[in-house]
Amino acid sequence: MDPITAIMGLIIAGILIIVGVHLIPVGGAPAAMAMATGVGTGTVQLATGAGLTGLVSAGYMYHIAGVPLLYVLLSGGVGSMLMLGITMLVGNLIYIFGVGVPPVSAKVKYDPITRDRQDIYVSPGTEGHGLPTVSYVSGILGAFCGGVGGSLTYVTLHEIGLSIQLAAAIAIGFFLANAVIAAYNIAGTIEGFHDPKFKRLPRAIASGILVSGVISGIIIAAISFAGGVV
Amino acid sequence: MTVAPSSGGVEAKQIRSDLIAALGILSIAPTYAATMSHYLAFLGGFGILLANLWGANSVRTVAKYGIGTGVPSIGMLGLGGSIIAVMAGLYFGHSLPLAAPLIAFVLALLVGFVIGFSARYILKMKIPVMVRCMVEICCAGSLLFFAHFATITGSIEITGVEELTRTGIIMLIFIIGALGILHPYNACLGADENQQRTLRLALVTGGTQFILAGITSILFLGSAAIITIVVGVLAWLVAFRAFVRKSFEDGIVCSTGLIPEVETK
Repeated sequence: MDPITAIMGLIIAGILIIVGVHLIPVGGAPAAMAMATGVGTGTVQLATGAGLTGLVSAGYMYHIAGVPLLYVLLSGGVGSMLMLGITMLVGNLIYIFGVGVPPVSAKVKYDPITRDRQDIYVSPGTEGHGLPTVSYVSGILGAFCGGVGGSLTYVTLHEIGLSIQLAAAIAIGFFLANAVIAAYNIAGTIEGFHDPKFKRLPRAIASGILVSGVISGIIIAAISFAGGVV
Repeated sequence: MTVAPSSGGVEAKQIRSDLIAALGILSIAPTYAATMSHYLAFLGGFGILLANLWGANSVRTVAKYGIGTGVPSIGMLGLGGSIIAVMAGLYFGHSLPLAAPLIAFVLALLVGFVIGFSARYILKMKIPVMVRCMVEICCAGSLLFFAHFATITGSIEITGVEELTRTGIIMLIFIIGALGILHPYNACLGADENQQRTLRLALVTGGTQFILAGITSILFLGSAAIITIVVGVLAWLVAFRAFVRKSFEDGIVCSTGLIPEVETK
């Protein structure tokens, strides 16, 4: 793989990761107390959990199944979707049957997908709770983007001549750097693509391009300097 | 027991960040010393302590502003950025292994600057120390990685590090390094947080890494690993005693959860 393609691949991967993180419904500490919509943990933990599961499933397809590149990326996306889907499903079960709150969004009056009324179900003093349909769908889409981004990073790094382990280690570092940049842009909680904070996405993409570009430039330069050896 | 009143309002004496940064950069000396002989590998542990101290202090400085995503994110970001710098540094320095930590340090500086710059000026985060602290955390992370390499394998050459990545130990270093840097402030934060207690906890997490590096080094160094483990346990004990004493002094620890008798009367 020539250096320019590799850098482009890594930048696209970085953008996919950033878009993915923006789509995942993150509630942070307030959601852990059922006081905000989303899964009750931080952006980085959720995105990393989903992204790394994608990396594992993509790695399996890439090295063992022997299928075209597109399938490898798709399997990364599907692995991520499964991981986040299960997390959100179990989270919803706990919110509904454990805490006893209906999944509801406080950012919109009607769910954009099901057209269900939202505002009357929001408990006073909270910003929604659980994962309504729109957040769930948004999360699944986000996990797909993150998973494809993570596996694209890994595949690109492996294609330019890094060993499996080294490519995985650097892919995790790359994933985290981009996921945290996106998390800073969100600053706490986001419900999904219907959240007003989603409009901040272009800024995160701009900084993602800068960070991914510099990081991939460093990696490619180092490998070319060492003569492509592993 | 009675609880001593906390210093409430009186600003505790601060250790200057520059001094801690200098100590952190000095961690490169024990790292080099550790590569001289397998029996000196334990010296790398002091590199771990110093680099960890620097990273934890920088996390404290930046996280005080409230970054909105929790303290853990910045530790992960720092180590995520520095692992890239470290690997690139190893490739650049493959013919001159002793230069690798210095090259990685410079690259970590660059990565940290780019991340800090984009967070401060593109994402417009209102944290004036963002750029400086991101640079510091990434640099501390790169030094921490090399201190671990030296302690565990007794060398900082790419062949030794390849062995660490092949066995997956690199991820252990990644996660204990990130936790070591982010945990002190994350555990101590609050209205009564003070630098001395946080930094003592940083030494405790550094000591834990020292011990874990010692246990891992059995695989590479054999019996010489025992020295690392013993020195690590001693370092941990000293730091932990200091941390617990400071916590009692600050009056944040009661021996029971009940309100002290003196105050209820």
